[in-house]
Amino acid sequence: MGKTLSIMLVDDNPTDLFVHERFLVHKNITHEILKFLSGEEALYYLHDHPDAEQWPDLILLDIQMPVMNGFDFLDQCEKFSQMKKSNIIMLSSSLDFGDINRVKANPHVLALMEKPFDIDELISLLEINGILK
Amino acid sequence: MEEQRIRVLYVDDEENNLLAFRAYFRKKYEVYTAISASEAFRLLESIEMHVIVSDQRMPITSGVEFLETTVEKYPDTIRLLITGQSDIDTVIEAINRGQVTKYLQKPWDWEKFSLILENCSDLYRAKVTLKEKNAQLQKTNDELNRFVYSASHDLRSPLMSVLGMVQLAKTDEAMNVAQEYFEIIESNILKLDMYIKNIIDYYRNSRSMEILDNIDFNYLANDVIATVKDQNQEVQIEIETEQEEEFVGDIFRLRIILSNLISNAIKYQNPTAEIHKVSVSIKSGHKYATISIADNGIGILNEHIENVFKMFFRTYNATNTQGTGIGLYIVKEALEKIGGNISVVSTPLEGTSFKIVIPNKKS
Repeated sequence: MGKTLSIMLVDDNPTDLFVHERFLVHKNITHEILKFLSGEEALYYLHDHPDAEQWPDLILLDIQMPVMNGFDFLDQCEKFSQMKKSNIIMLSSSLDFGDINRVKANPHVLALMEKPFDIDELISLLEINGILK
Repeated sequence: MEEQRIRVLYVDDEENNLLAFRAYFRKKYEVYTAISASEAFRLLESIEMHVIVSDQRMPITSGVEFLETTVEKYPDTIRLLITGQSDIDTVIEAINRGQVTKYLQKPWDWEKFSLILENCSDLYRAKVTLKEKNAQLQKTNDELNRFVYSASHDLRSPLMSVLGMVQLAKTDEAMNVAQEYFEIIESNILKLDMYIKNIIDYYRNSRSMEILDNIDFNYLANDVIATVKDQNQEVQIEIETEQEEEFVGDIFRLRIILSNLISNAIKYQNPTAEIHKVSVSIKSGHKYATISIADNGIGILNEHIENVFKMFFRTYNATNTQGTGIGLYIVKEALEKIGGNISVVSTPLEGTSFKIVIPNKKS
């Protein structure tokens, strides 16, 4: 594997952030991990780093978060033109029928994965889509 | 429950009829009278009537015309029309169009009038009860829907986190991180357990009747604190109880209320504060007990304060403590069951203070 990714994790559950980070580091597919416990904090970060070079290649985004959920976060993100650079995978510990349809309808979202995600499944998804070579 | 006194408005252009009506019914009902439709409207603007009685033959506005205008604004009100023999077609028409519920023929005898008014009162009460029951049913239904959605996510979430940790532990070669993994697994199991306990409390509270006991507030408060203080050993807890006489109340619900509020006060501490304080003060009197639970914790944002008692409401906070979103909801529901009330004052980063008032059921 040549190229590694910068990855942003947005999840209100600190355990899941920890687990996901460990898996990604373990598989050597990342050189930078940005962790945020809420959509707001992640938005502030993106706002303060307007340079597209600094935007994450991949955002792993939890759906069920208090105050600003994953879909609210996406709505806010669409205001940034740099968003084109980032690929988004949404995560949820329970796959709700309505959520599945919303994800399918959103052109920015690559896939919806159930937590805890299967790291090998994630890697093959990234390879198929040419994000990871 | 005490039955609400029925408010009756009588509209007639004959002053003598108004006086006679008031004299006959004033002991039984809250009686209002008006000499014309326009005077009746003025009264209706400030007082909601349960039963409106109107004479049909009045100058300017007839009884049916007047009653018709009250239908939309007061759909629960019962309307009674008084008419002479010659107006029978008008009455039939008005009843069929739903503007008038009952009618009384002139000349009336008082006993018959009284019976019909009683009938109207019962009808009004039945309408209101039905409406209340419907609203309750709607609330239960909405809560159940939200409950299923929320439970399916919130109950699975910590379990899935544990599963993730276990899968991680299987792949990681370094066994020296195992201790850290087990701690995270443990904290998730405790979170799930708290959620399940909250749900059990919620169902117990919604099902069971009030069970009355003698309450020793000092003992109860200390007992509750002993079960919740482990969540943060650094917090200094002060208790002050003043109880002069016997207090009778529902100990099961009081325990739910106190343990949720004190546990919140302990959990949501401000990490930047030098000392973490929770003070519990209880004043138990002849009629009421007033309990205040105050902390110098992270506080609640003004915009969220209205929502804290709603089911499944959560925010994030500086302590990274994740609530289940049902604790305060249960507190409020439990207080409703025992006839108490709760208020909250909070300033972000300075602290929160909950005050509850509970009636003494001794008498």
